[in-house]
Amino acid sequence: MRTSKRAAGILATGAATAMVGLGALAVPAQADNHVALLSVLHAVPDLTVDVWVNDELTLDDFAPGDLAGPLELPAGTYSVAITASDAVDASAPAIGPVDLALEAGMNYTAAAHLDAAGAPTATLFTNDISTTAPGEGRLTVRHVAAAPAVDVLAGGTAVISGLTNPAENVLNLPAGTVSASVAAAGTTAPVIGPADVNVAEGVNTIVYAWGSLEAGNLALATQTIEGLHSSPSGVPAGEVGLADTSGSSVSPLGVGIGGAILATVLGGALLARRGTRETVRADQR
Amino acid sequence: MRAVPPDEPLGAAGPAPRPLSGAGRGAGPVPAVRRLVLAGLVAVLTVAACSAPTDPAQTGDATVSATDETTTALPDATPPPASVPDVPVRPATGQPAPAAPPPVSLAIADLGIAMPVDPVGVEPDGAMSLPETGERAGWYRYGPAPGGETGAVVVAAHVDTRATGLGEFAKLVDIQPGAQIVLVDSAGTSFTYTVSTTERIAKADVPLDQVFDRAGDRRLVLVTCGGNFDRETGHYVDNVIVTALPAA
Repeated sequence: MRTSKRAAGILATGAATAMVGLGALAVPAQADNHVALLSVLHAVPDLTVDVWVNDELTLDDFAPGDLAGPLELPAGTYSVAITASDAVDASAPAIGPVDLALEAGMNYTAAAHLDAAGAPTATLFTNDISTTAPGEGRLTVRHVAAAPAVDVLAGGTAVISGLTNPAENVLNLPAGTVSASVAAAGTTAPVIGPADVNVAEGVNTIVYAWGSLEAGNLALATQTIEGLHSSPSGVPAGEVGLADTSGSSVSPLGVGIGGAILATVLGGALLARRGTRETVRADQR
Repeated sequence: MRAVPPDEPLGAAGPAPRPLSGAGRGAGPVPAVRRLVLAGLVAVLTVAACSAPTDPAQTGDATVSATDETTTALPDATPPPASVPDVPVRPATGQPAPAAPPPVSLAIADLGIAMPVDPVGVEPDGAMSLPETGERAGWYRYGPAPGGETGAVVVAAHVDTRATGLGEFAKLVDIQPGAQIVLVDSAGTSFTYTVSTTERIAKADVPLDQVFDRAGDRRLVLVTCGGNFDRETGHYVDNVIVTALPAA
């Protein structure tokens, strides 16, 4: 196999997480401040490989379409080599070896994939783990396929235009399901999809377009990074003032407009202290 | 939309790529790489359950053997030629686990409250959405459901509305610690909670990250408005917050 100059890629080790089966338990998106998180995506079709990190076999028989990690790694530089799956050591890599410099507190995905011309290569992506707005999710689209520039369509409309291998585009969207398809740039006939992509709240959903247009095996791979959510800005849960505690004469009779007027009068006259905090605990009964 | 270039191509910065032959790299012993899967999973579960930064001690098994000359700034504790632990691998399908069913009703016998619960999100300004009438409660659908493993199930309702006057949650100020609250989810499962604290807190001081916590102990948090009504802003000054823990 030809080795790309940009070669690189993969690696792994560590106590990672298996998202599958953990249900609601979120994987911490943000690493401890002295470690980096690294996932590895295998997006080279038809090629099962072994991955070596610092000359140690780390991923044995790593198959196309699989995602490994995330791994918590102390910040530092790791040497990664990818070999045929029957290699006995890392001395004859198909890709690499390359050095991956990982910074503390960052979240990375190393993808082994094809370049636009179809040669195996690898790219280290930095995943956006910044906080999402309440009610929003993040959609990251990465082009790692042997294909020309593409548009990404949602509901038939291009939301990302002219994405080229190995670029990415990041969108913050209201949480929900997006019917996404991938088409050659400037066209709308899908080469991938349409497929439903769940842009979950507080999650960076990373979709990779991978495979080869020429070989007819273009596909989507998906990685999710949870726990990026933020809290609503408040709970405004009253509109009228009927429950205003500043005027004890406001009673349940104040329902509807009449009550609102009454409350307005009372409340306006009695606008009072703020910042009260009362707590009643079970052990104080 | 902006097209964002990826990180610099590997090898374009920093150390130059090594010779492709890998000359000089010895064929060291192949370590057993599968044995630490379980340890890794246990560590992850522990971390998630505590919602705390990973304790380095828990991931001692997870550090990479980093004795290569290119590695820098590694802790002294990293064992020299340590074997590389195993790595969980899964298909890159990325679909989150199915969420627990949403709550559909809320009952507080002590207060004579029995009301339907609707899933709600956020308003354009980022505030929690609520049903338009105080006769219905809203469950914050981005947070935990009653059947979830962790965190606060948040159910809120208007204390009053222009449409229908006082809401059911106007009674919340009278709830006492020890009162029972029952949520029923769409699968018909009942979840009973016991009130532990009731608070009235100025909205500006409400610890929203605690109210909407998704990772801590399982609990139910009821929220409405209370205190004085600010005529100028059209809002109450305080939130009434009731916290209840799963009944034993």
